[in-house]
Amino acid sequence: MEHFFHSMFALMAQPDTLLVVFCATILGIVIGALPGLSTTMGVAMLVGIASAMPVEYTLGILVGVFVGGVYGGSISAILLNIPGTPSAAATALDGYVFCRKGEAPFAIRVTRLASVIGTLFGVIVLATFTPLLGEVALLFTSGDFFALGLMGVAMCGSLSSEESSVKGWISALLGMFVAMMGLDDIEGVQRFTLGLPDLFSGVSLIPVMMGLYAIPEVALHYCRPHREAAETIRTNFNTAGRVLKTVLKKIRLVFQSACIGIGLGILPGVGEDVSAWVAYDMAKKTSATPEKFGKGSVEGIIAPEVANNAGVGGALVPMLVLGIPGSPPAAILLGALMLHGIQPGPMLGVEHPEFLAHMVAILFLAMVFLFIGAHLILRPMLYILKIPLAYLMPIIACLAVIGAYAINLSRFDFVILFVAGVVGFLMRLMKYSPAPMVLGMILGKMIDVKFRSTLIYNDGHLSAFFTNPVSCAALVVIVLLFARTLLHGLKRNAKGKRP
Amino acid sequence: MRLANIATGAFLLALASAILLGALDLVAGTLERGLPWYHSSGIFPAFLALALAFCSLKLMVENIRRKDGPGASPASAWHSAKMACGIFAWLAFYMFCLLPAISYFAATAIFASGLILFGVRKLMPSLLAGTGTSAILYLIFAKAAFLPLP
Repeated sequence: MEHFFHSMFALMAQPDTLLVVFCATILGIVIGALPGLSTTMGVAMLVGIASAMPVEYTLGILVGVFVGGVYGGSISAILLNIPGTPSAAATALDGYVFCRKGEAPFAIRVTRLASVIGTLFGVIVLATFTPLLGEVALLFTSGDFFALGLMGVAMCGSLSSEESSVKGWISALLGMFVAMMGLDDIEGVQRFTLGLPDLFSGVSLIPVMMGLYAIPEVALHYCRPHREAAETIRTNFNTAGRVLKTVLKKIRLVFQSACIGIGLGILPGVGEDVSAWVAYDMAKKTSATPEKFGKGSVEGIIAPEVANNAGVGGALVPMLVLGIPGSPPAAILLGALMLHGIQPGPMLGVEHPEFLAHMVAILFLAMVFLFIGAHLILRPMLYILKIPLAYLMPIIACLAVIGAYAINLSRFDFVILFVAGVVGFLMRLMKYSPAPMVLGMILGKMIDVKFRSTLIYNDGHLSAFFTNPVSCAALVVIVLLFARTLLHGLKRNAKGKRP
Repeated sequence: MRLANIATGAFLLALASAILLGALDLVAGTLERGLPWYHSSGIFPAFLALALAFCSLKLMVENIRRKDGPGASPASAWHSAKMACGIFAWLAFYMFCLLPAISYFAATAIFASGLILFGVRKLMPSLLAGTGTSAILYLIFAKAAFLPLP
């Protein structure tokens, strides 16, 4: 424990780390606040550049943007009634009512405090539960990891697709297939490389992630109606210090929303967006004044903001313990760590004993800088929100190109970026979520290797997966997910046939 | 959307068949080397291909039975398609023609100016903003962060 705190404070005392996390958190707030730019896209856009730096900087940049972005969405939700990120959509319902009343600074400060408290819950859970779960995970077998990995991908496919689970699964299967390309780790033969030497070491993850998230955003910007610039917001910035009192009065709600955020954040693919809506809904159900929701209820802005930021810490727990990320930005962070030769999972504490302390320190720093940065950036944000997105889109495209190149210094990665961009654009048009594809790509190779290792160890008997409680439970969950989708489809067809 | 889903399903079914054939080839290679089937690098991709084929069929069946909802107007769809093709062509021109031929700063200035021009339709502000974007990126990444630029 002493060593843990020593490592944590040693990192927190480094001025360069502080500067990196501070800048990244501010950048995250700006990205999150700009409508159309999501947190996941922000993290994906910077992953290539961040991965070319030392691992502490990589963590600082990506975690800072992740935490800042999740909060930043609430600023435009309150000021413009346009959620900057999907996770802030619930905040807009009540937040914009405050803005119309001239109380936007109060609402923004309440959401800032709620986000900081949510992140603090995430820090506590990350610091306490990760080592405990890590010890349990050391007992897991290859079969367990295969089944848990597959369950993570299947759940992500089921839960992240807005139209149909089948589309989510297709996305996940394609991601796993892409992960199969290149040299096989067990047999040592080339798979699906199409005879291209550039594919012998597999498809690079970073250009694919940038292609799936950043490039479609640029292309879609020119295909959809443009947002209006922010109107001048007349408001009084000198609100009294009633923010802390307001939030403290709702401490039960804060705790309830934090638990929802962490619980849902741990589930693969669910992420902050769903957490925010579930927390909003639960807050309404348990409120003494549910009729005020949608009309400027302070509970309506506290609940989603606590939940979505608590989900950040929640999503990092399974990523560190099992190597299975809880949300798309966590999946991208996992990919960046793998590029540094750090393989999150039960052996992380043994191979990199200081890593958890560093992660907790950076999440804590991001929380502190969120509190300070959100205060500093409030007035400039009003001007930034007036810049037409057309001026920002080239920056996103150029960052994607630099990031795709920076990892391998290979021009072939441009081809991967371009193809992934076209695929990502078509996926967005056809309502396929890219998150299962990214998760499938990250976990695909591990799932394949663990699957065959288990079979080799058990002389090809598939029963090995069903005799172990963990793998058996995970496979049952997968079967239930499939069964639920099939039944849902049958019910829908039956309804459609009725006159 | 309904027809597009059916077409996607058909394409994915063809892709799944191709993956399955490739995977079975790998399994055959393993068996030829005298190893058991579960050592093969093709076994997991074969399962993936079967799952993909199943999902593609389900997608097609779901959409064949479904009634088509109101879609985007042909004019707006045509405009979107034109814009998307233009953006991707411009990006390809930047990555595959401009960057290998001229310096990063010049290539990025041309690309960024063109992209802004797509959105704001004003030449001078686009040129100024594009050059400024290129300069800022160059200074941050090449001069401050010492990152190798393409």
